[in-house]
Amino acid sequence: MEKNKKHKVIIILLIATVILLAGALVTVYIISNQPKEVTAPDSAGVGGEIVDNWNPNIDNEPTRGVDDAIIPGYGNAEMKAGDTTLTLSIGNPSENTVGLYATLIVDDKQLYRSPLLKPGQGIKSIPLNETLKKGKYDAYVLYQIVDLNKPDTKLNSVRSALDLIVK
Amino acid sequence: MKVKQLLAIVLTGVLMVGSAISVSAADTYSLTQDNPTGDRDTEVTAEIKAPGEVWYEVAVPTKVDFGILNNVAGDADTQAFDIELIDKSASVESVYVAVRDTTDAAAITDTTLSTKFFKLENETTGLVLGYDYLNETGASVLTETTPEDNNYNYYGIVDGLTTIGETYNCTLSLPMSQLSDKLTDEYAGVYTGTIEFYSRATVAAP
Repeated sequence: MEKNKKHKVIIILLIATVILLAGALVTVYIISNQPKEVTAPDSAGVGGEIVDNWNPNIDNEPTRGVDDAIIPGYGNAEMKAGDTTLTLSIGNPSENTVGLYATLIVDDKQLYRSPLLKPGQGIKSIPLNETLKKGKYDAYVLYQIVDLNKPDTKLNSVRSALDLIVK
Repeated sequence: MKVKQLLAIVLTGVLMVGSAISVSAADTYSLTQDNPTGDRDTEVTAEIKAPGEVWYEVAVPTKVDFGILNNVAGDADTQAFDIELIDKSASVESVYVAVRDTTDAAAITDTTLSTKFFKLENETTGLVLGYDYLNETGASVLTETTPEDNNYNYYGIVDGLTTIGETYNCTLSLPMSQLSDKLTDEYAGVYTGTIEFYSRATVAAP
């Protein structure tokens, strides 16, 4: 009788150990595969998620002069007819000491304007305020340079041209 | 049930759970915003920029700033105004940079100046000073006879920047003659103006 009771205790302890071990393994697995959260600053009501670690993804190390602003440039961008978002990496390189406003202009129409982009901030998928039909368009990203201390003060600007292909 | 049999079953279950998780972990890898290609090693054999990516970067001056004008005896006050190709992807052959024609013929009242000048304006008094944009040879880009017309009249100041670090050394020139006999309170103050650049890449032939 005593022996049976002892066996039962052992079995219960073994089962409990297995359950705890399995639970621990599952928990570790879940934690290690949690997606990284990216929090974006308030975009003041303008669409598009602004990220704080925008990277132009250019291979070479940049050099720069004093009182200069580094402005991104493009070749082309593509989207489908009727789409309301465009994959286009717009941003303010982290080396800058000025702010940038980026405006997408297609056929002289403003399709998107960013909020103030501080150095290191950018957007990779921009919402458009109208859709486009199939075709090839002359487009520009107009980068307006501003003083970070006085964002309403406009400095120089750069119109980066690109071909927009709508399929 | 015998203890040994039960023990065998239990241990088998533990091994199965552990193996399932190990196999699942081996098939996944961390994809994060900072690690968009995952942890796996990737050998790059060709660089093709996808549509919508940044293909190049140029550095331009952020503002026009002649500082304090006190060289009234000289011909012109000048400011270096360089443009540099900071980065470019391998698929970019050259980057063309021009400057938009925002000259205001009506605003330049000094008859000694060309009307094809950029303007600096005193926002308090409305008075205007004109300045010129010179290329590397010292010639004004604003008097070119064939401006690049991309619907906005851009004047070319470079033929194309082709290598990283290459610069085009331009100069802004403000003739002091327009301030002759005008060292009065009327002309004192801060004059501001801006320049718009236009940049476009040409792609290397495949």
